[in-house]
Amino acid sequence: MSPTNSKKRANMDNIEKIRTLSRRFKRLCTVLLWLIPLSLAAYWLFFNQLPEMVVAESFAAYVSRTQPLYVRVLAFLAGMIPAGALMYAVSGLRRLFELYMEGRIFSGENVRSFRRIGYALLWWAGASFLHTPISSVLMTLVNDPGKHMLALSISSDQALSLLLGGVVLLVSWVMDEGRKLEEERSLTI
Amino acid sequence: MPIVVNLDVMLAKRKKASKDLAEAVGITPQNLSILKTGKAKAIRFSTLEAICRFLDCGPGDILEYRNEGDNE
Repeated sequence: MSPTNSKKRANMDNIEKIRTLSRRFKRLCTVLLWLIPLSLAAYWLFFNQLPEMVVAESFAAYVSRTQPLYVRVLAFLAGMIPAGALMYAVSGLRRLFELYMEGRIFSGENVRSFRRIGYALLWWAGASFLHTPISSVLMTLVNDPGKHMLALSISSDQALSLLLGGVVLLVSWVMDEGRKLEEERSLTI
Repeated sequence: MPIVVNLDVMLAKRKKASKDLAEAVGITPQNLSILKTGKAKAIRFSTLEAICRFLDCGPGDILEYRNEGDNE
């Protein structure tokens, strides 16, 4: 086989590997898109029956272990704020893998998917910061007077998410330059 | 675009088909269409050489500079 043909063959093998892996990751993302809201719903539906050690990590001792249904519904809705950001990021990732499956690496659609993921990570950082005070108020709603709580916290997860969001947005700008080069190449006869 | 590709004119003069040109040059009919309709951003010297060899003409017979101001 000539060097040019063997290079073309190696290229095609790489593209095929990308397609195969992308198909698997796309399936994983589809599963996650269902799993995120369903697991959150299941958590709040069965909150009162959950073992102590599962709940203790997320909530302080003064949170009642038995919450009425309306509080759990509100808590689920509050949880969907950061979960929604996560789902938006996963849907962007899913679309990206779909494009890789089609052999599209540097299209405008790829750039938009990267941007979606970047903004979703920034959204998640803000949403999870907001989620702490909302959930602390909700979880102490049924407590006796004088035992309600408003908590605020900043964690390394939020800082990391902000950093990652910024990095992904930067990558999307670089990808956009790649798209322009690819368009130039495809219109060079 | 100021550079105009006069492939249709040369194909008619030499009585050759676009399909045969594409095959001889080693490009797809779609890429040839991109060239003919002025959508191409660049042309490789190797492609230009192959076209000129097939049509027995020079680059100036295929590529023409037309100043956009001249059209007004």
